[in-house]
Amino acid sequence: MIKPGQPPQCFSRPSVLSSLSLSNPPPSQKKDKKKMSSPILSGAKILQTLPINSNAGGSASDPPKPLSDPLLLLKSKSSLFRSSPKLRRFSSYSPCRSFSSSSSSSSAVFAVSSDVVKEEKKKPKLSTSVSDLLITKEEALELYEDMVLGRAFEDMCAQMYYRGKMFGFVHLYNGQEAVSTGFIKLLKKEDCVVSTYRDHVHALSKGVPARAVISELFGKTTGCCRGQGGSMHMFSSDHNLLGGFAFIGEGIPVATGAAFTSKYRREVLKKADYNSVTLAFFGDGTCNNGQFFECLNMAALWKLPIVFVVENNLWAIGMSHLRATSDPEIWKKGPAFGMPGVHVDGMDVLKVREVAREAISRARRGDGPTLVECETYRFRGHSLADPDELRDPAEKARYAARDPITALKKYILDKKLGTEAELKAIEKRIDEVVEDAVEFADESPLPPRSQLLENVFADPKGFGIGPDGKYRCEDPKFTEGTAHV
Amino acid sequence: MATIIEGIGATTSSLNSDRFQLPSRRSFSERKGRFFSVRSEGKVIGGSRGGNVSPLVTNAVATKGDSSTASTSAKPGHEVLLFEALREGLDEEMMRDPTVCVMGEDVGHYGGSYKVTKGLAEKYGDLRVLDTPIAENSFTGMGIGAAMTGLRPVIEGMNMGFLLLAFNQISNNCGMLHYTSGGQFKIPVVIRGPGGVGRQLGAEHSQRLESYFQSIPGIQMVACSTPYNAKGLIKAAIRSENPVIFFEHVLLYNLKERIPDEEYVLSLEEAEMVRPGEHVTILTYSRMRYHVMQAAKTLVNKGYDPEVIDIRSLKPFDLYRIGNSVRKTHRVLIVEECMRTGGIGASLTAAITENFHDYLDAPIVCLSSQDVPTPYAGTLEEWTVVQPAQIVTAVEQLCASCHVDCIDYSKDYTWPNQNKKLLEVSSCNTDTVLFSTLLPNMDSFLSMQTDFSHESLVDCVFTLDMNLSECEPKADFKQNKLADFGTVAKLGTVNSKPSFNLNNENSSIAHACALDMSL
Repeated sequence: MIKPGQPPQCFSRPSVLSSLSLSNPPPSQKKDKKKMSSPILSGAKILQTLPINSNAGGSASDPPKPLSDPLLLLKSKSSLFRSSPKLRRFSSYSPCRSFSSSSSSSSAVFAVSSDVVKEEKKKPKLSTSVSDLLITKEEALELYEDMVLGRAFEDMCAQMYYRGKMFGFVHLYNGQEAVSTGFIKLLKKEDCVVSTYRDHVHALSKGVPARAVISELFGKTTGCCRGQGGSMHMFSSDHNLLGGFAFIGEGIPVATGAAFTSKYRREVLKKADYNSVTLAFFGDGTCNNGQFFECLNMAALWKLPIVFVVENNLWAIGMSHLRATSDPEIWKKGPAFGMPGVHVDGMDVLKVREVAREAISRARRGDGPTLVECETYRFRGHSLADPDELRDPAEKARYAARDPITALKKYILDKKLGTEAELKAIEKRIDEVVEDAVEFADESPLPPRSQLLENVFADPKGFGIGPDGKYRCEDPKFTEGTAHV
Repeated sequence: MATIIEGIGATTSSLNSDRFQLPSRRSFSERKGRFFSVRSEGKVIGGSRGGNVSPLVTNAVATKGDSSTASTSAKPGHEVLLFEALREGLDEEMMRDPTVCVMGEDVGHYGGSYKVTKGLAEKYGDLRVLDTPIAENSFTGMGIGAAMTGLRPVIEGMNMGFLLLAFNQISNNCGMLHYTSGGQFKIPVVIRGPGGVGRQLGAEHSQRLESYFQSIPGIQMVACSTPYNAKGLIKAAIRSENPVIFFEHVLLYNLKERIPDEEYVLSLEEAEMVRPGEHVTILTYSRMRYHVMQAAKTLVNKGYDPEVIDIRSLKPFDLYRIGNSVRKTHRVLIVEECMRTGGIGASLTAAITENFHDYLDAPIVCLSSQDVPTPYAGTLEEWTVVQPAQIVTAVEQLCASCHVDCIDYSKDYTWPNQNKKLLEVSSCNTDTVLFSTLLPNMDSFLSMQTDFSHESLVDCVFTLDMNLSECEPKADFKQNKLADFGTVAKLGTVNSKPSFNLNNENSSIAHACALDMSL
């Protein structure tokens, strides 16, 4: 019987590790086994992509031709993949789940270090090349600021909730900031983001002002959705944030539609320079939902410019991912539909950013979608109403030690990309922003009665013609009445 | 408001002692022809809505073909079948606006399972007429996402029943997103498809989804029934900024009609007067319109004069045209193909009762399909759906109740407009007569209850003394006021002439109202 939080035996693949073995397996790999809590692969993180014919590590049998689709994407622009000296083809010989890997046998697999910061010494080539390429000082501080904003904001939300300033279901993002920051900070303004109910930080990363978000949470009319959406429905047309959806899986088709519009604009409306990308964020529980698979199919079929980002925090309220999923390795589901599936350490913002960069530019080029599984963790319960008793404290502690903000901070300081003082200044600034936002929200007015019937229809003629022959909406007292038709 | 006065005035005839037979036979010429002004938003280019007049003739429209309008080529317009009319509408809109696109199963290369989109993929390309995989929930959601980001998709469900799989997206996203985003995103989608009971298609392909969707806030629903309104409505739906669910019917795709060559767009919120009448209002939509018209033929031969309205807009209801009709005929019959429980008829009954209760002489009768999954066997299937014979019976029963025309005349009063009807008997049954008055200050009269024992009435005259000096005809006098002034008096014996003295201090003006009725 598998206890939640414990990796089930059948999923750890010691033999796989050894076959993959990076010729100098870092000693810390073994140490890290207890730290790395991925129950899926208790060891190397697998970065999977599609065959690059010029792969240095080409060994053994050449994999069979990939499924359908071009999949010839990565001209290996990213030195990440090429420079890794430990490339191996992951052939169809796989100790476990061989049937499932037959579809992925056409893909090459790379082992990447799990923790850029910690592994730095062990894999000097990999990590230094990565980090030196990826991050400048400005970028580092920007990422830091964004993550700190996310964290401070969510903490403030918790405080406000317990003080009775907001109600209902509030789902906080603590611990997962690396995913939001890593992806969204690479987007342009016209790129779209679709999220789930855990959307506050996605909104903030995309640029929605903290004031607008917190006002929305307080239900004030100055909120980004005029107080009509709430925590789970953050929308912003200015920032192309398409929501905020309460039912899981519901946003994925909407994201697919936004990507479809992008392709349509380019090909039918002939706006050649239009190449916006859509990101769809959702969790591990959603990956068992029909809409997820249907949209993977359609996106790959039409090569839509979309990236499917799975925030695998291992828990769907109280349901462990392992108890709910026949094959918990979500990234594998990508190749089944003809798109690359990538697994990345979602607690490490630099890793996430690197993968994101590749996936987003792939989409922008018109090469189609990517499925990115970010292994991450939420430090708080599912929502503020969740007592969070089911998760193993040891698991929580393990992940708390991998806090993305502390990791980035350490990295910045180690690499001398910034000073302690600068970081403190950022934190202070963020605190002020958040406090100002709360003040603003507190002082904002509640929505008036007249707001009730506005926005039900884009064209209020939809309320119909009343018994007096006039459209109901033409009656100046219309908004004080009822909405029945 | 003027309508009411006119309307009532229209029934004026001289005081006579003729037995008032029910239902009164009025020749077509006497009907004052209250064709309500149709608010069609002035989009008719080229003027006349001539194409629509012919179905108003008392000839019932048969289920196939329209022989009365089939004619020489000298007639304007062109003949189309309903699915061709839909295609024309789609084609015109796609040409006019490049963001209009179609998505659905088999809409592209196959041309649509009912040929509605035939030829469009060749013309506009595979991306604009998108063949989707069989994933209703997801491609409906995709259409919604596309609408949010600037396109205007027309999503086809191969059969309306399949859209049950898309209910999540339709209810949550289509209906709600405009509201929950605080008005930031609009969803101008059209979700269309054929529904209804066909010819032995089995239970799952014979569903009527209008009842399931009607409570979703934020959407509009329309049902087309003729080639003319199909084309006009689909164009209006595509141009509308609101999400519209467009119901077609499997059996109506081959209807032929002559439609105008010029472009025309109908209004999504308006009902259509199919056949004006006096005795009973029959409200219907989609395929049942044809059953009703068939029954109307029989009814006319039996001496009834039904008014048939195709409500077209299932959500919201056009309460104006419906209300005008109810005020005229006082009897309502709803004929629909929806289920009895929670169907469109149920909502319509509630809406009419709520708004026009005082105008009703009889309870609203609603004929709907049986609450059974549609059986395969032909005979059983026939019995689940309302047939013309049932409609005839229902009308006959409805009209059997008493109806009174109140004829008023006044001898001595100096009311500015002598023909203005001041008192109306708006309903009666064997025991009571409901009086209502148009005068605003009749409170004392209203509170009066007189006790009459009742037998039958002939030539009963009531004289009312009241102070009319303060009564001015109010310009904005609305028919709703009628409802405020009802009172119940029991009728007296034959030839009795009671008089009411209301305000004795001021000089009163006698006003007489004669009831001419027989039971």
